[in-house]
Amino acid sequence: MDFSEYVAARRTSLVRSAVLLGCRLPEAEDVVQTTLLKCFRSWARVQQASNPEAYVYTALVNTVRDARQRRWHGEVPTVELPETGAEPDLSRPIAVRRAMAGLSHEHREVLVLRFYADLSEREVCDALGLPPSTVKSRTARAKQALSTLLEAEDAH
Amino acid sequence: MLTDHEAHDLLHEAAATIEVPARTVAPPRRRAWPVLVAVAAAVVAVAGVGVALRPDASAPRPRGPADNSTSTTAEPSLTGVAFRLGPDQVPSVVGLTAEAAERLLVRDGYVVTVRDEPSCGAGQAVGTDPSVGAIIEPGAAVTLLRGDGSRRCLAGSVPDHGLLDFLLSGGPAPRFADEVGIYTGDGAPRVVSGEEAADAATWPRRDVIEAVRSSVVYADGEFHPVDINVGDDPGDFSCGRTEGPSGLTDRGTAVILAPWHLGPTPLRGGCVDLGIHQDDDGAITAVEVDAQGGAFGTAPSEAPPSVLGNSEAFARARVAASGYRARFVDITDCAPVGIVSRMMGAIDFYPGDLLTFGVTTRTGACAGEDWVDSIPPRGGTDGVADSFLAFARGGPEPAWADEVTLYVADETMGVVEAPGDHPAWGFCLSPDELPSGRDCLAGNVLDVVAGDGVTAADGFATGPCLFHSSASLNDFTTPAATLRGPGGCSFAVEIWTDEAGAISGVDYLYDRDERLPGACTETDHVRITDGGSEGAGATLLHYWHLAADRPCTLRGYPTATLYDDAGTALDIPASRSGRDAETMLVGGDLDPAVVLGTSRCDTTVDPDRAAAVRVELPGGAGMVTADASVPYCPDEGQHLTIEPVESWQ
Repeated sequence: MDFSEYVAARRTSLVRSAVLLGCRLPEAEDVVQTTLLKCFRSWARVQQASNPEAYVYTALVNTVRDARQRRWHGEVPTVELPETGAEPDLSRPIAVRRAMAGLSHEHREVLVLRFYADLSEREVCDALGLPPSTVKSRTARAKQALSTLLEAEDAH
Repeated sequence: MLTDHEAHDLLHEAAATIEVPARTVAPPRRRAWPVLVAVAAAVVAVAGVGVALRPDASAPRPRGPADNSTSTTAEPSLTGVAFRLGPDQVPSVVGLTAEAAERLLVRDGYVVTVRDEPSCGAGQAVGTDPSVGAIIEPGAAVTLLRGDGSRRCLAGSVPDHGLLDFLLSGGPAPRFADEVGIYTGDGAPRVVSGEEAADAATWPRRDVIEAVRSSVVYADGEFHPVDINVGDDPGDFSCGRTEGPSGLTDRGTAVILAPWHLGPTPLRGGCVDLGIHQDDDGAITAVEVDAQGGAFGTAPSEAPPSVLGNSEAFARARVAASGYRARFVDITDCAPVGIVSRMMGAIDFYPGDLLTFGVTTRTGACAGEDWVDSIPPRGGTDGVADSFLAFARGGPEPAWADEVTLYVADETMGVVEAPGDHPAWGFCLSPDELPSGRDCLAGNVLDVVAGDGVTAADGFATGPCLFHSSASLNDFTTPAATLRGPGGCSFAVEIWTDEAGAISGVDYLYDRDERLPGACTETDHVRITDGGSEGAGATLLHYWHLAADRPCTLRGYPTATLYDDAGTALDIPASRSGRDAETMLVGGDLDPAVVLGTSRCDTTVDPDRAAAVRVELPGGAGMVTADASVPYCPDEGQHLTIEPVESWQ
């Protein structure tokens, strides 16, 4: 896939992933911009990868980590509700976002890569530089943590 | 416990609630361009410039304050710029032992061979081939040049190399005295025991030293490593400080890590000055560690926002907004022409700092080179940007294609009937926002594009907007030219040409949060039809139609209310949806519509009927009413939707 086509098709998903990974929106856009520039520089390699998406997400996770190291973001585990007022079924996704914000970075990473980017377990291992056993157990714990936080949201 | 399937659904639903603003940036077009070879790649003479340790008296040295008394306060010269190296570049091996350098290169994925090189530092890494900064593929071969010790070192190399090995390479600790004073500023030293001094963790801000070590200087079209200068005459060279801490009478041996190209005080953090004091037995009694500008011990500010991948103008605005100053230098890089592709090697950030960014003005070698042909030249094809800009400013007409289409934010507005007439471009800002004496075209191009406070004399940037996410307009082709103001691609005019180079399309791009052209200011501009279309699930669509002679944008979102026969508002909330829930474009391919959804109450249709739907324009500009004639049901969850849909014919 041509770089431009990829950006056109996937930029929104990447920004959303960055938000789910704990960035605020403007910063998420920055992170994605930087990620795309990195990938642009080695696009030939990205295209040759068996799953280019896995390559890009690896770069995204690393860029988010870099950004996190660079400054403290003062993360706030709340999000702005979309101004709909009348979409009752939005409460669940918003609760999920709030719960994601309450997770550890490690848990967010595995959840986003595995279930939003839809990478295979093998690809998640490669992206995070972790052995399969660690990814398996971390994914299970992350799901458990998300589940617990969602239950707390429900009780709230 | 969630199943994988549930987790998948939850995350996708959650992500869908994250509104991502579209970026009005265009993808690069494929164009046949010769692949340019980076000057930095392999042409730097390894034996000379790339040598890491330079105690050779004949080698260039930084000028000391005695040579140039103004240089410590003057704005740094632009003879060179320090950059942090990217992961696709050969790293600096300055200051490392050959072993540590080999580990570093192998870690980065290179295939390393070692070759001995005449030098005074036996076992020290003295350079690489290709040299530092070269952009090469992982897995490529790199030759590491190792000093063979065959040359005589001029100044105290043994203890100094020992400390550098310790600080930079993780080597064994040099011999310390029982008490060691660490001077990191003008105040009292931190005194540690010899044992503590031998612990690397004791040393402040190793990352500063490491960052300087891994920086390169880009000057004269080439990358150069930062040098380590060792000498015993502190007056000869230093990071710019002329006097040591008051507690120390002598200066000791000076070790300077600095890009010599830049003179004594190039950039904050771009120079690290180690003063090493020894007793008569050669044990280290005190070390001055001073990054230029007193970076040690002072809390740095938050780093500036990342602006890589954006236009220079956009970067300038963003950096200024974050309290820093920015300057830009032209570089050859693996990036599209016209975008900010590198940031200088700043280590700490202080408010008001002058940051340096590299703007790619020539596309150099890349690890993967096949995209290089996609870069449009700066200034647009055949000067089309200049000719259109000149026309907007009142100059002669450019060449027009048979049909010239106007777009606004990628939406088709229609064919411009007489493109040579400025008013034909219509789509004005509201007249009171136009500076006197300007017509719509000039207003749009000069003011919308250039933004507030920028006059035509400031000129425009031209070049591609890289990360355009819209595919609707041009099937991934790119405009022949893009005029960009300080808002970067948030304010831009894209110009398309046909094969003959005549202008065939113009797209006004703007950021939704910024000033919008062509606001619908009066109710007369829009009207609403009775429910004209029945969609799936008995959804009724009431379209808005443009009554004015040109498309316009609603600033804000309208509200819609259903009323019964008696004129009483029915309590049904309205929601907004669509690509942009803050503004609506009226006219063009998309028309807003009020969607009266009844699909969810098929089983409990209320006998009452709404008599009218009233739509109020944002900003109190008026309201439009149409017959509703739609069954509604008051069940919870019922709502009206206002959304842009494809134009109803």
